[in-house]
Amino acid sequence: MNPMAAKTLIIDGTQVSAEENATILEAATDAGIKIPTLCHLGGVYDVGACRLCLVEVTGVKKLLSACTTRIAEGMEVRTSSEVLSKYRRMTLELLFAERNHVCSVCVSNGHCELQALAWQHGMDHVRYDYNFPNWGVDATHPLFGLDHNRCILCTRCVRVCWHIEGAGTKNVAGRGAKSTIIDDLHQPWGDSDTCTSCGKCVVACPTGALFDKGSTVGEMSRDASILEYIVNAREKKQWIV
Amino acid sequence: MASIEGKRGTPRPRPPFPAESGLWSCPTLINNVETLANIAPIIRNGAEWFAGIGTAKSKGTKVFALAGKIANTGLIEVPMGTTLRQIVEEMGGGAPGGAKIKAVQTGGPSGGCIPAQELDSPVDYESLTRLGSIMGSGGMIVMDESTKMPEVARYFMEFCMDESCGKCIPCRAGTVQMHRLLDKIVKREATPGDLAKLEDLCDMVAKTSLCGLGQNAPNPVVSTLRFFRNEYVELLRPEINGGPAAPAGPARSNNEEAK
Repeated sequence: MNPMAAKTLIIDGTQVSAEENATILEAATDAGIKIPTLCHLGGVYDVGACRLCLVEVTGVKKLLSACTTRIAEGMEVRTSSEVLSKYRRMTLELLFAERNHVCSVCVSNGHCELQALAWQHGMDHVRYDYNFPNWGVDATHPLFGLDHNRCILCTRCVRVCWHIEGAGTKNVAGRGAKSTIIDDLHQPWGDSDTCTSCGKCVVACPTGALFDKGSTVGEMSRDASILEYIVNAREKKQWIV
Repeated sequence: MASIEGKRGTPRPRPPFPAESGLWSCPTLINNVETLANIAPIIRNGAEWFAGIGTAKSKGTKVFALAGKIANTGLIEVPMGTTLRQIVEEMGGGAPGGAKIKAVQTGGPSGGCIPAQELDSPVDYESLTRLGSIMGSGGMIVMDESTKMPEVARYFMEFCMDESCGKCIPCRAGTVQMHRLLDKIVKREATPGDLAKLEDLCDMVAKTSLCGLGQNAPNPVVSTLRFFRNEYVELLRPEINGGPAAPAGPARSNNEEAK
């Protein structure tokens, strides 16, 4: 197979060319078309869990997640429509109602992907009753903290921990609404034998669920794209100077 | 497949379908026990024999677990195309005490309710789809006049909420909210706005969930709303249906509930 082979498709009425094994999300991002997402993270595999990147594809009855669907020649994709906006806003509202996302007292206020998406989608209020769960905060690690109340279960931290750092500390336990991020065998983070304290999970977290201890709101700005640099350097020998 | 690989049992997005990339990324064929059980008799008796049973489009037989308000409960195997009335009245012996049958729920927790006036429909894939239900797991629950449809919907939604794996947001958080709205309706605390919210969520969860569980979780609500909408409307807050207003309780807000 020719590694440089490309496919051409139409995204939002614009002709776009991308590498043949690219996903719709990658092709759109390269073409400057933004598709909202919370669980996608460059450098680790995609899980298609947040359902925000759902797009319409002509000839396909179901909505497809852009992060996991590979492009095809001549594919016609629409990344925004009235119904997609409606579903995206509802998804965001469900997230806000699920746990305790109170921006004003959050260390990631202003640097939060969930907050930014809510802004972009005009989510000025939540129509559903809040769950107000009583999830605890794990502050046993000397450097980092984990506030389950702000977790959206995107599993970015789990994926970077296993597939970039290779430590395998973070995991998901429980099912449904009772799912939670755990360390090792569901023990306090500070007692973990496997955690290397690398901090990649904190960098990967889209909300304030994982944070650097002692950071102020102004210091919590994170750049998750540095994680992709590590993977590109390791796998493609591409070095950022 | 995830469990065999030693991973957490959560669905993966399709495509790629298991037939392309499944267990350990190899092409994988997945069948349920009922399908496999059909293979030996087909080999023994020939394809014509199997195709001779059933309807033009749905071939063979189907096993149902008959339960609910019915005299004879248990497992039955019927040729495709048998009418619901034959199953419920002849094999099941009707509702105990001669009570009037109200609806039959097929397809398990994510199936739909078929009203009594459709009892003469044949049981095949096409008819069940037309009636907003599914063959699904082969569950068949008979309900008589004493059954309240919103309570049935709440019961099945509770099942889906508990069974959600938690991977995708619409199913994980949506079933919780739908269950809460159904609970409000059953407790006569809901407004027409709540009913509209419920219908909106049914549409959204069905269209955006990652796997079949979430995509079908709203079915019991959608199908009971389709045939028994009046039961939901009657349960809305008394003052909305022209009745006396509920006694004014202490004002409740979300914040107070949390305390």
